[in-house]
Amino acid sequence: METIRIETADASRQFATIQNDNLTLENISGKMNEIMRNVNILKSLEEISQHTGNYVRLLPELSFMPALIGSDNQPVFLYRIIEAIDEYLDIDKIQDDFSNLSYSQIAGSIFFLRKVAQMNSQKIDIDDLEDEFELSDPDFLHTLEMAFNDKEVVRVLSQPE
Amino acid sequence: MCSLNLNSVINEQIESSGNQRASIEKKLEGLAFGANRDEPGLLDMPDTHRKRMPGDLREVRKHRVGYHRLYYSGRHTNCYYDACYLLIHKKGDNQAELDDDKRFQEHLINALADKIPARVLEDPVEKELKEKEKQEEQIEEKSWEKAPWYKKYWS
Repeated sequence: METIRIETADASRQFATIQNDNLTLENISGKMNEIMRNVNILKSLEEISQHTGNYVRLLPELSFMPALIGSDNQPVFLYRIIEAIDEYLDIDKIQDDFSNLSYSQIAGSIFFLRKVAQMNSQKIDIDDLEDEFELSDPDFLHTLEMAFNDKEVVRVLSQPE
Repeated sequence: MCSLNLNSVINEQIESSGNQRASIEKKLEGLAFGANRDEPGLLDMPDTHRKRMPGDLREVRKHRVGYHRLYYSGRHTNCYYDACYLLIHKKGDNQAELDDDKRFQEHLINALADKIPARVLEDPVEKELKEKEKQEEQIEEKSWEKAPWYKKYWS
């Protein structure tokens, strides 16, 4: 069999996964189905974007991860907007309107939206990338280790009786 | 309802977070209070287990709180969690954090833009043959050590 050269790292990664597994038609078909499922979801998101004024863009150079383009031509990823909404959101007020929902359900729905906004064609886990970035800083790692080893409880946040 | 234990590190961080303090505390409470001994809550979500944590921090989990990141351990079955560190991101008033944020965003854009050089994939059968040949070469090299002249002069 000839050596295969794949032009982009994206495709390379996906085909590498196929090669690393046993090369059976069933495996290849499974992987292709997974890729197509991802493509179909991104296609749906693109259609939604087109129906909602095209403010949210899914650009190939950003692996189709939803983003807005700022006045400085720099992308602002949609998941960061969701984080900002979460930062300023008063969940108690939402609960006033939806008394049948718990705090966890409402907060969970924000996490869900944030994850949806992180979808991309390379299937890069953005939080994983963030961990890698944070934990590569030895100062931060040291601080975290020190904090984790401090086992003395000085205050407890608990529901008032 | 489960509770959240704070050590002195995170307690100090919260107390010195200025006008964000009330909002951070409220959010932390919301994360813990939703769970009980029988039912997992937001701090038990599978996504909170981070695979990149080094060995001695394997127990540490991470959860996003608005812009901030909470590091903690524990589970709902104990009905308490131990919070150890809060990575506080203040937008706009800390240049170092803004720079970090910018660096991460650039890193992310590069990853998504696929700026990783193309790799050449090898035929797995050919690769296996090459590895075998390499191993055989190594064995051959070692066989010199068994030769009588080698033993005589070098051992």
